[in-house]
Amino acid sequence: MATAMENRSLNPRSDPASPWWHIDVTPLLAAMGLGIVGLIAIYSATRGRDADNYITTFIERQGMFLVVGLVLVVLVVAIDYRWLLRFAPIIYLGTIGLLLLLRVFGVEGGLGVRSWFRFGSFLLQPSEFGKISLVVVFAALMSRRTEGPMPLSELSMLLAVGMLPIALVVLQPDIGTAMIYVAIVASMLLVGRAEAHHLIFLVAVSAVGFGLILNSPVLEEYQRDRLESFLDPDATARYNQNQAEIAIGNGGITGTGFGEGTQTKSGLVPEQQTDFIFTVIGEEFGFAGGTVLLGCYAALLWRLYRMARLAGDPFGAYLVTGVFAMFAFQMFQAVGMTMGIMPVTGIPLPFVSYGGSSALTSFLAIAIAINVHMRRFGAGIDAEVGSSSR
Amino acid sequence: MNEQSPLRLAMLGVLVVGMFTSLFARMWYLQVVEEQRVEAQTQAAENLTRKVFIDAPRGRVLDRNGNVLIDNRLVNEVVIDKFEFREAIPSESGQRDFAIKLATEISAAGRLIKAADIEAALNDQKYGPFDLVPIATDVPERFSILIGERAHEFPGVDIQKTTVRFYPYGTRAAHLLGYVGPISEDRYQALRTSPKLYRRTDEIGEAGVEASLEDILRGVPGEIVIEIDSLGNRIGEPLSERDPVPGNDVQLTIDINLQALVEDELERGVRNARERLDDTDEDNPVEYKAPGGAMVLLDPDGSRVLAMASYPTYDQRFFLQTVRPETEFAVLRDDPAAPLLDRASAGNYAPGSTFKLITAYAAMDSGLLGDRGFLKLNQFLVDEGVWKVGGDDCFGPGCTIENAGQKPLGDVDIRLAIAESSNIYFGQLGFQFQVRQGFTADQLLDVAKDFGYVSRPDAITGAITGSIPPPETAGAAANLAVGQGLMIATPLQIANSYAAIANGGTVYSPMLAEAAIDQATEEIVIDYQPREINTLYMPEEFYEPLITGLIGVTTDEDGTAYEAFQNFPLDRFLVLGKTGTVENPPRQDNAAFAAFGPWPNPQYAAVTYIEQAGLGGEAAAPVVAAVFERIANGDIDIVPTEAEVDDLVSEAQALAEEERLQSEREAQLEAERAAASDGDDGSFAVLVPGGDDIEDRAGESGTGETDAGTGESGSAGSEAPVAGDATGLAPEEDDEEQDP
Repeated sequence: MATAMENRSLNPRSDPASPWWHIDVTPLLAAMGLGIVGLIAIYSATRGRDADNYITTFIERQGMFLVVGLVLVVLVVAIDYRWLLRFAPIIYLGTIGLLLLLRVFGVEGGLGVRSWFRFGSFLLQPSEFGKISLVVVFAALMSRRTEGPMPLSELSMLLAVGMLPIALVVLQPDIGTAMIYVAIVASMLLVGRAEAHHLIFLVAVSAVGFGLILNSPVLEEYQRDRLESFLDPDATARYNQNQAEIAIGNGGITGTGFGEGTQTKSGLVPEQQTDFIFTVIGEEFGFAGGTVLLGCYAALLWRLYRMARLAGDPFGAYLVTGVFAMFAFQMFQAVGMTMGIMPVTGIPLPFVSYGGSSALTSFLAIAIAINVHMRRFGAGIDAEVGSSSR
Repeated sequence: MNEQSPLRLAMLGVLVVGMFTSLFARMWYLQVVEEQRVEAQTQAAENLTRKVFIDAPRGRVLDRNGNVLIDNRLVNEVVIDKFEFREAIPSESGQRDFAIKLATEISAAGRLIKAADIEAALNDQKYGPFDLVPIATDVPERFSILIGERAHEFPGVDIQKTTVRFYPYGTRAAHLLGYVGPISEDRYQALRTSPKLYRRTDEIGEAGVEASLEDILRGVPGEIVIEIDSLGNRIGEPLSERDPVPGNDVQLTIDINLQALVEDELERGVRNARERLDDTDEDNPVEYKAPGGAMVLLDPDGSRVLAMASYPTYDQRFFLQTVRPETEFAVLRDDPAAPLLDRASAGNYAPGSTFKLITAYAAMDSGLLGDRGFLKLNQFLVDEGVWKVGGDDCFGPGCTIENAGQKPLGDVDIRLAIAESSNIYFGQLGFQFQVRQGFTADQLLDVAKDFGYVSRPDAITGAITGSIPPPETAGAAANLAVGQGLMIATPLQIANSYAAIANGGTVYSPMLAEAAIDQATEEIVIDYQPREINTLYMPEEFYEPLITGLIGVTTDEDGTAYEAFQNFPLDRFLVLGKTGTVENPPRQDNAAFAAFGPWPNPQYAAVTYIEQAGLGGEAAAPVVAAVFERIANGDIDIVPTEAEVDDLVSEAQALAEEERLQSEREAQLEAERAAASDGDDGSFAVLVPGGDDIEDRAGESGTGETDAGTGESGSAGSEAPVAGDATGLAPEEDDEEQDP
């Protein structure tokens, strides 16, 4: 007995009762694959032209972000996700507080956008982490009801909770991130069994709301141009998108090869190491490279879908659903805009784009999903956390 | 949740599958479908290179003797880097303040410009966001120094060298030479495929020779294709290079000395006309208004334009300004005296009696004057001074034809009718064309066209075609025959028709360019030949009456221009001419005179046309006489260029200065002497006469020297008075620009 106990504690993977026995590392592998593709693309986009003296700052930092992200995954996975239930209100209020503080202490980036705090040489983007908070608070609120469709009162409350961070992000203004928030909210409402007619009504209202925002002074001129240029391809603001499409087309089937992308080298596509990073992959590695990249996302999302379906409790299921929606829409938006099927609203490609906030948020998200999945049978853990939280 | 909402989760899953499908489909379309891929790859290749253009110098314009009439000059140009400027000053109000500040500084440095014009240039859509926008050319050096010192105050402002057109003879031949200006969007679109590679920011000939010979004068800009990096910086060696090809020089048929003579005499003629009294209304004589006029001097051999002047004129240097001040331009354009109008080639005039020669030829050629015509060739007609066209059948205005002052001329044949300008005789001919069996007024019209009327001389861009509406009534036909009524012709067309008579019947299209010359090799690239448009049937029996009539105009005591040529050396230089006094109701009569000489070998054909100046014989003929007299005497001044004028002025000043110092020294000596003797106010007394002395000496040195001054030191004095006049013009123009 004693040995069995020791064995259990020494190697949890050998004990079917331990959550470590049920761990699924596939999302992590997919994420690492994407991270490596990202490092290559970032290097190509940022190394500069001086062959004797290539710039490595970007990949060094991104490599560090990936490592920190992995450490974060290990830390998060070790703690039962159900603790989040207890801390959900604090997480949410903290996020709102940060977003508000941003309006005072934020660093002003190009075009007057305030999305970052500065810590030494690092820029922290609270709206990235805000995505996780949103998922957590929605999951927490929705899991209080165990059966039946979502009553209108709950829907109203959820909408109010969701609209506040969305509004703050829109005001930064960061339309891309706000769109992801909206996608997360919509997906979670869908899966959280909101009534069909409520959802239809919401879609109608948001369509009208979108039209109003488009014509309101909230949007800066350049943002309106970009959104409108998507609807009207003749607008001059379509330039970025055109160059991006040329880059991807230039790649052809097998790509121009690493470091050989002329569009990448000429820098005609903006933000190549972040929002438009797919153009680098598309140009230098072609259709083949793009397929590998999308394949990684497919693997990631497939595992997340499975995790959501198999989750042990509603809270966990909703958490993974939110993460799934976040990755799916973010990937679709970030890749889609480079190919002209989505409007140009800059958001990073998860795990691939250069940027600490984005990388850490993405790792945090899969850590939560893995956490939920490995504790799906977790009676023992209920004893740890659940009793106190329920 | 596995029991709660698998369906809803599956819906989300399906949506995500749809996303992947659309991404793959789009990726396939962009990267695998061939057409799309090839297009992208071509564009990607183009994206890496950029073309840099190097302007080609425009050709110069020379006169027939090789004097440079339009040259190029390297000057400082103020440009604004639009991108840098916008980055530094993004706000609209800031940009306005900046424009005001820049305009103030440029103006203070001596080149006047308005803030609004700077703003307009910066907002001009033809400049892209990364272009250099030119603001002002020919900016004095001290502005460059200022920009160098205070660059931080003027973000994006830079000075670069550029060539601008330069007119060595100032405003001489302004209408003829014309000017260049920024290309309009319409013309740019029309010229996009031109081998001369026009760009939106280019200049193009807008008027005069600059416009009509644009193809010759413009060069082909050079092009360097460079590889660029993401910031637009150039990398490595150029991928390809093509040197600019300078435009060709053009040698004109113009003689600048004759041009200056014609301009000066025309101006004098117009001014004289204004002093004469119009006594049409005997009780209330008024001065002639004479707002303007034109003069054309042709070489009948090929209708080469030797000189062509229009008065009043303008200063073409106005158009050199990079940013054309619109208000000043509007003032120039809307001036009722129409200084921009080239009256010589675009004046809207009836030819008046100068047209009778055409009627005379048409009558002989058609047989209206002949054995089976209305009159025999030498038959006389009684001129009673007034004639009612076609008796009582004619109604309305134009039915009464009168001679000037209703003067009865008695029996006139064709020769006398020309010499004494019988309206009755020629009115009859016109009437007969219209009414006589077997004749038609169209015959007269056709002959006029044979003489080059109603056709646009292609050598001159701004020239008008003119028109002769076919006469519909007998009265109209009679009026057409005497050059009155609705007919429109230009002084150039009249001169051209007289050139045809002078050379025995060959009608040429007026010619302005003699040759196109390669700037570098000085080889003739194009040798222009006279362009014959018609050869008239001109047997001696037609020619003799015309010539005899025209000789009578200047030599007969009853000739209409007899008085103007009374003191003219007709024995050495026989001038044949025809006056015209053109009724122009409700305005005063226009004065015209067309002539050629010296008979029998005419080398010059001339027309002077002065608006609202009265009798042709009194207002216009003296101008031609004055020009021909100088030609006959070989007394044509050589026009100094403005630079020469400046030299002469400064030389004269230096001379005067020396004189002054000399006299001062003498004065001092004298004062010292006086002081030595009685020591009182001698110095004061001597200084004043010293000042007078300077002017006397300057005048003397002028008249004392040779006349054939070429601007060298010997003739310095003789040219000094002319120099004074010429320089008087230039600074005045500058003053006008200063008016806000």
